[in-house]
Amino acid sequence: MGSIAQFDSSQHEALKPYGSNKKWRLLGRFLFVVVLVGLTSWQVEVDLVTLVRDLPEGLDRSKDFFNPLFSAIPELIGPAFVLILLALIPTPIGVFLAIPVSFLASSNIVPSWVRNTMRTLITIQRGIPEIVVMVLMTAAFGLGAYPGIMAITIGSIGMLAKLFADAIEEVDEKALESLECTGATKWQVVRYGIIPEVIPTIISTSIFRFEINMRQAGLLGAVGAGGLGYELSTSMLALEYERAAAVILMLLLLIYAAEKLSDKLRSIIFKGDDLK
Amino acid sequence: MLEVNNLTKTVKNGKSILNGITFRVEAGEFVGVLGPSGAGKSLSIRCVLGLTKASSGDIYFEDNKDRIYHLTQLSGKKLRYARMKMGVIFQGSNLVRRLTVLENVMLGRLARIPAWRSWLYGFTDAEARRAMKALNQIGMGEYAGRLTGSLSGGEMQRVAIARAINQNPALYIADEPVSSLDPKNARSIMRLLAPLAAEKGVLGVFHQPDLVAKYCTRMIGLRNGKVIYDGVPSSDSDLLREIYGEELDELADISSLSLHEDDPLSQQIKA
Amino acid sequence: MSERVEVPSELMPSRKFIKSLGIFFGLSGFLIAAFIYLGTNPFMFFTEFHYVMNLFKDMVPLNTDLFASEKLWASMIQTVSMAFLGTFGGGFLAFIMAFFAARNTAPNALTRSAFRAFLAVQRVAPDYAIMLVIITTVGFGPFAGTIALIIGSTGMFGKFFADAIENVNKKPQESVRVLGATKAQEIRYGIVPLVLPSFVANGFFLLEINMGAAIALGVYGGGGLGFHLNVAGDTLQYKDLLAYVLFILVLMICIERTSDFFRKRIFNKGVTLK
Repeated sequence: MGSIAQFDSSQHEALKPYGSNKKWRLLGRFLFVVVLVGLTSWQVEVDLVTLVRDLPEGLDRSKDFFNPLFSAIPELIGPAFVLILLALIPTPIGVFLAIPVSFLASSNIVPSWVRNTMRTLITIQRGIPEIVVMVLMTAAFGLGAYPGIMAITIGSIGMLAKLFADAIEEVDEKALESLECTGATKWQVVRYGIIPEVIPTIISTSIFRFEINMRQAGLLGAVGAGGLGYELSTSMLALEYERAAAVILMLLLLIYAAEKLSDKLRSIIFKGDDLK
Repeated sequence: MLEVNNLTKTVKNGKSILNGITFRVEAGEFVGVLGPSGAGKSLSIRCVLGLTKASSGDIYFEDNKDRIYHLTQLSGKKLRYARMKMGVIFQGSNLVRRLTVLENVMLGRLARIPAWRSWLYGFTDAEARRAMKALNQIGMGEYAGRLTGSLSGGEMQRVAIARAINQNPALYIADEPVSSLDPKNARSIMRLLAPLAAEKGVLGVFHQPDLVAKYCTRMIGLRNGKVIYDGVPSSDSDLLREIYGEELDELADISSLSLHEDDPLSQQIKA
Repeated sequence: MSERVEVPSELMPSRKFIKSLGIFFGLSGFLIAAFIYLGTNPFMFFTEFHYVMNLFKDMVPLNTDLFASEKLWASMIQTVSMAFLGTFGGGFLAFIMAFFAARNTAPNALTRSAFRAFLAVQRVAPDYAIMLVIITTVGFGPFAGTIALIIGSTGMFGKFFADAIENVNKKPQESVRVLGATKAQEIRYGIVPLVLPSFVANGFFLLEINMGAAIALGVYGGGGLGFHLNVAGDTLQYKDLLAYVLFILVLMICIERTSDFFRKRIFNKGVTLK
């Protein structure tokens, strides 16, 4: 709310002449944002006095973070591998499950009531953060990699299905009609008219989702899915900040490497692709 | 072999676009349909293909095995079977842009492979060879591996023809195959269509009277959803004015360019 | 088919089929190996479906009293506040830093690369890792989560904003320069009005992301809905757990719809202003 108020004022500035009315409105909006920031700061328990008083002590406590325990790295390679698997496994499974969902959410394949129902389900899925699914899955299956894989897979489906379906709905209707005129069945039209056109979207979205899954895997790992995330939370609980720093360093490197690798993969796959 | 009887079409707001269209196409004919925009050319074609349902009237189609299809009554499997026998040449831009040229040509045989195979395996090598033959026939063999979306308009149009050839239909139906092409490409496409017409028969919708006069064996003039001329192709200006009305003047600018494009002067102007 | 027709071998359908078969088996092989390595049964959801049924029985009927409790609404306000402050603070910092990281507004190349590198590190760092470092400094609670969100948002949007500034239309800036404006005025009147609508619109998008992140950080001890959700799960209060899950779902959809509404409004305005 606050940011829109700010935005409005500057937009009007460009259009309207300066006047006292405008100044008051600007001031009003500024005060509104200040009050909002104040109220929310109070809610999140910002306590500047304590913060300033305790900061030197706190910084002293966290100085261990700048001294990572490099000797811990060999024993972290196994957990790092688990983290990568936690991100890698759900990606193809999520894509595999999202494709049929996206068909059912596209107006050019199914009747509009099916499409709208499916789109609503996708919105609902996207409304549940992975961490919530993780808590539910842990409640059902206990700790371990399985609830983590389930949570990340389910979390992938909504986003992938929505982007796939948007791409499917953009496919040129006329190309599909021309296939229909060869006497092809509806499902053959889908196979040869729609699938080839959306495969680039499927590939690039999946690679993007893998990057997101790398982050999620660390987060969910800490809640009990295992891997580097779990190592991080155990190190923190044991107050071994130097070891935690080594874990964080590895996390950063892995996420960065995943990002670079995805870029590389994209450029290899789409090399020589002169469309779009 | 194609008979359109008293075809009418009234759209939702009560406006009637087709007002009793009747014509026949025989084997070996090259029929060019002309008419101003909104005369119902493309809509008649859509009715023949079963893409749009006619309000009344009948369309009969006889394939090369003497089977007769009552197209206006067909749906589902039978309609697909009838479509298999009609080779539709759309505008080239309606190809699947992300498939290779060869794959697009193979798609002409889609009705002949079972649905499960199209999902699990796809086409066979023999079908690829067959498609390659069709491509070679129109001189596009070396483009086989290119992505279709990267071709020029004229090249895509040739691929669209190759797809129809590969379909091995009883009759070719061409919906504005040359309207988006430059005069030179348009003529070479017409030259590709002429032998197909002699072999099977072509029903085509065109915008260029001069091309129809030069290549077609029969001309049908549509206006306001009615056939007002059906006979020998002619570029007689009185006849064309009768068909096109005021639109003829706009058309004349384009056709004069294509008629005289061969002479050196106009080529100089273009360059 | 009597004559020989040459089809390039790489275009042969059989060749393509073998290729896709290779991808299929490669992928399945990887998945099987990965599940064996992790020692988990991929079909546990179905083979051990009674776990899901048991959970379901424990959750239903959900604790509707919770919706009237002060705890739930207070924690909701706390989570929304975290997300708002994270977005506002992060957006504000990203906005300022972006001008130092964009080629056309940075004072010099050195400053630019320094800010770019700083933003890159922030972007790569996951917010939960940031929060754990912050916790050691300021202790558990929503404040630590808020700082983590601010830092995470700065990284995520700083680079985006900087790219937007670099890609801005040069014309208005030049016309301001012609009038004899200083560099600061040039930025204020030549660049800011052009990029502000996109910044604010993306700010709403960031708010959506931060809502999810705020709940996740809550689980780590950042307070708010995430904290209570996790407590309900850990203490086996499944009737509460379901209530929290449904509440979060509705809240997330409301936030998404609101942010969608404002984004559309801003973009409509942006178009008319051109």
